[in-house]
Amino acid sequence: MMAFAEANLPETIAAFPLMSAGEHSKLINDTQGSGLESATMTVSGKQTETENTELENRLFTSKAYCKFQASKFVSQLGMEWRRKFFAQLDSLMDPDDWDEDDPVVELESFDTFLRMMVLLKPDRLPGLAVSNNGHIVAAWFVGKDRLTVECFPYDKLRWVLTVSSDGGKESVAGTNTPLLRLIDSLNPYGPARWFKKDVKN
Amino acid sequence: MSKTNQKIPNEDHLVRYIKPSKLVKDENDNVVGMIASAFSLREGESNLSATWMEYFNGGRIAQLHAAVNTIRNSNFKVGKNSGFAVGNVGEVHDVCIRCGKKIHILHDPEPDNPAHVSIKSLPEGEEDILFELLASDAWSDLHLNCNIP
Repeated sequence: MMAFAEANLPETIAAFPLMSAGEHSKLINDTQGSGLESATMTVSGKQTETENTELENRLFTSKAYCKFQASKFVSQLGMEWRRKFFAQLDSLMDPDDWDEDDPVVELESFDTFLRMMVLLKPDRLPGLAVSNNGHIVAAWFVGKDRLTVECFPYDKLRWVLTVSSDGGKESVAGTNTPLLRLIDSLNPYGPARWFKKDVKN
Repeated sequence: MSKTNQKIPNEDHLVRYIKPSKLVKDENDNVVGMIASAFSLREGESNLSATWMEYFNGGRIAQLHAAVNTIRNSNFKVGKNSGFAVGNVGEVHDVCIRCGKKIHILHDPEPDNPAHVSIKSLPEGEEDILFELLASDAWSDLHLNCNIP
């Protein structure tokens, strides 16, 4: 199995520091008056209504924050990634499909996810889902091999993988894994099978 | 008809509603599966809910459609882009036993869903491998809401 190449990890994500709760609040307030609404509507390709239900407001705020933060990572991850990621967020946080009992994605979870993407720089983009705790979940399903990573605040991860081989199926999980330990944790299972395209294991 | 709290036979099947937020899509927006937390208990929940497919008459497809439409017509908001996962009762038990957990799958009719099933004694908290195996194995037969008339 191919060992996943490691970049200069600390410096790669140190360029995008974690934000405090106060900084989050200020950024949200600034974002709401910044005209990002227009960018959000443009990227989604459809006009959103101005009806201000609480759920719609919460989803909009969460989505706008993530798009704003993600835009900072374009130099690392590319415009094509940004385009696809924005479309995924629009789909994931569609108010028409959102269960009102579910928590909206935590902003700090988005931060961890974005830093994880900078760290991994996968060729194959993950699917996105939301955990019962309101955390972003990145999922790579390739054939029968599955990797899901739940992004907790402050660079903590919870992950589970299933890999199939001639010996059968193996499932492994990790909890409270620091972001910088993720690659080491996954290396025994050939993470290139998920992150690289056209890899044979 | 079954009595309330009667065990569902191992050869029968359960239909579980999967929210859009639990479905995973690939880069081309195709649904490729669901995450494990689609089968885990939320805070305050003691039982996992599902619908008993063989409660309804007809072949497998007719039973699936009947189960889905019962869920749609219940006091339950079904998302446009949601899914329904079909799992075999025996396989669900097997996964749980392999993970050291014994569960109970019981007919528990509700006023708006006579085929409602409660899955009891599922572990709370971090049982990631158990729920991952349910999502990827025992309960992995996924049908999209938009494809079911």
